[in-house]
Amino acid sequence: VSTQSTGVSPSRHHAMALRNLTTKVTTLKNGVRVVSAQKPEVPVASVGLFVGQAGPRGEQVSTTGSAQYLRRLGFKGTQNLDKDTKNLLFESNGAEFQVDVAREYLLYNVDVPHASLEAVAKPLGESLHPKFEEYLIEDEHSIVELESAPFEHDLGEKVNQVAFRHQGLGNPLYLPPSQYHKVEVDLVKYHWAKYFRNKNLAVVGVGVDHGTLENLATSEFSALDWDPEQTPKSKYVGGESLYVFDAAPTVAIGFEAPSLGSADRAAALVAQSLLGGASFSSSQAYFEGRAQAKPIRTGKLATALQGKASTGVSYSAYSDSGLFYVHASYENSSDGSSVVSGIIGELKAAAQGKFGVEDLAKAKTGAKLSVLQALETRSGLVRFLGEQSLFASSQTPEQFVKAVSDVTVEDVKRVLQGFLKSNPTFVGLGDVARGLPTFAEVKEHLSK
Amino acid sequence: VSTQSTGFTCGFVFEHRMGSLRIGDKIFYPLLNTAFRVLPKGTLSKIIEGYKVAAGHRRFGLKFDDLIVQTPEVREAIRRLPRAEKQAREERLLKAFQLSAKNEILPPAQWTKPEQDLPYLAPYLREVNAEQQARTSWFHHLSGPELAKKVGAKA
Repeated sequence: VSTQSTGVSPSRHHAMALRNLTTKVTTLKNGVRVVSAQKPEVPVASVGLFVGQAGPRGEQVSTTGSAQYLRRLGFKGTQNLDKDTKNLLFESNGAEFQVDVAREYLLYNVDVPHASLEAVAKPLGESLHPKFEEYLIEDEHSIVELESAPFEHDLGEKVNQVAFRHQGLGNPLYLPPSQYHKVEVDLVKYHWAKYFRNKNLAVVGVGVDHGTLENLATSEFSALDWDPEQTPKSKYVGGESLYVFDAAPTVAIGFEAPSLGSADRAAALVAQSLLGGASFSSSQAYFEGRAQAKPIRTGKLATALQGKASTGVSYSAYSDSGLFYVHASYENSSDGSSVVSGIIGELKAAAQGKFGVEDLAKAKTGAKLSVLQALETRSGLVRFLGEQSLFASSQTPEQFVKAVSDVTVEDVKRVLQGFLKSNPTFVGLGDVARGLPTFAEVKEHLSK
Repeated sequence: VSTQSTGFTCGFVFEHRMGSLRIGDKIFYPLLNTAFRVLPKGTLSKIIEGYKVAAGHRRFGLKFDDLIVQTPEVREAIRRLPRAEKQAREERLLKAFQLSAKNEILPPAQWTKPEQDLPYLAPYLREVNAEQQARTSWFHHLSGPELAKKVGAKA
C-alpha cells in the first residue's frame, strides 16, 4: 500500500526498521532487566538505562518537580566522578549522552561507536548516582523555569491533569509556576532513593551483543539494591476544567484508553489514525511530541470541521492506563458549541462503524507508518523496547506491527464504544468563558 | 577584622592565607610531608592548634575558615556552601565587624570553641580546586581510551 502524496511506503520502512532485527530479554540476579536488539549493519551502539516509576508519575505533592531536576542533575557530576571528567569521557570517546524524562520513567541514553562502548559504560552507570548538593539544585532553578514556562498552558498537560485528577499520571511533566525556585535538594534525593532501585531498572541496547550488555549491566549499571516500593495505581477519573485567558480558544475531549500492555492498543492507534489522519515526520521528533508533520492522509475530524477548526487526535499509552483525546482550535469563541458537536458527531459515527473498508485500510497504513518510522531510529527502538520491558509484556516490534495489521472494523468500533461509555475529560483553554457547552451537556450528547 | 589586637605574629599557612595551591605545592606541602614523617604523632596538630589560638579570631566568634582571602576559587567555594552554613558565616562576620568597630572582643564564654572551629569550607575549596586543575591539566590531551583507563573504566 503506498501513500500517494509522499511516495513513502510502509513496506520500505518495515524493511529498514525491522530487517535483521533480533531481540533478547533476560533478567539478572539483582533484578535488572537486560534487553538487546541486534542490528548487524548498524555501526553505532545505543544503550539506554530506564528507571521505571522515576518520572513525574512517582512524585508526591512535596516532591513535585523532582524528576525534572533529576534530569538536570544527570548532566552534572556524580558521587564518584566530577562533571568535567564525565563529559570529557563522553566527548573524547565520540559518545552522545542524553537524559530524558517521560511521565513514567527517566532515561539515560548514550549513542557511541561500538569500539568505545566499554569506555563510556562507567560514566553512564555513574549517572544513576548523581551528587546531591544545595548549590547544584539552586543553579538549575532559572533553567527549569525557562524550560517549564512554555508549558504553563499546554493542552496535553492540562488534559492529563484533569483526566487523572492531579495525581500519578496526572502529575505535571513540567514544573508549575507555583513551584518555581522552591524545589529542595532533600526532596529530590528522597525521590531518587525511592525509585532508583535495581528492580526498577531496565538496560536496553541496540546494536550491542547481549552477553556484552549483560556484563556491563552487572559491573557498571546498578542502582540501589533495595526492594522497590509499590507505586499507587493511577486512576482515570475524567471531569471538566476551563482555563480562561486571552488566547485563541482550544477545546479537548478525552477518554480512558488502552494501556501499553493491552490487546486493544493497536486498535486505539488505528482509531487515532482514522480520526486524526496520518503524517510523516522525523522519528525523533515524533517521540518528543514536537513532530513537524507533513500530512499524508486527512482524518475524518479534519474533513468534518474543515474551515471551522484545526483538529488533532492524541493517544498516550501508559503502564496501567491510557489517554485518548481529540482537540480542536478555532478562531471565534462563539463557535465552541458547534465545534464540540462536530467532534462528538464524528466520534459517534466512527463508533457505529460508519466508515468504509478503504478508510480502515488507510488508517491502518497511517498507524503502521507512524510506528515504523519511530522504530527506524536507534533511539526510537530503545524507547519502544524499554517501555515494553518495564511496563508491558515485552512484545517484539514485529509482533506489534502485526497486531496493527490485524486490526478489524469490529476492534475499532469496540474501542471507540468503550471510550464513549467512560467518563469524559473536557478541557477548554483560552477564550472559552462563553460559547462552550457545559460538561453535563457534553456527557448527554456523548451518551445519546 | 583588625589583626593588631589579636597579637597575631605567626607566619603564613599557605593554603588558608592564599587560597591557592601554587606556593603551597612547591614549598609548604613538601615541608609538611617531611614533618609528618619525622615528628612524633600529634606534634603538628598541636602546632596548628597553637597557631589558630594565637590568630585570635575565636575571640570574635569567628571560625578559621571565615578568614580565608577571597580569591575566585574561594568565592566559588563559598557559593557552594549549604544555605544554613552560608547564613551562619555571614552572621559571624557581621558580629565580628561590629565588635572590631567598637574595639571589643566577646566574653571568654562566647569565644569559638576548638571543637566548633572546623574547616567547613575546605571540602568545597578542594572540589573547586580539583575541577580547576582537571580543566587545565593534561587530562584534556588524553585520548578517549587513555582517559577511560585513568578513571578505572574498561577501554
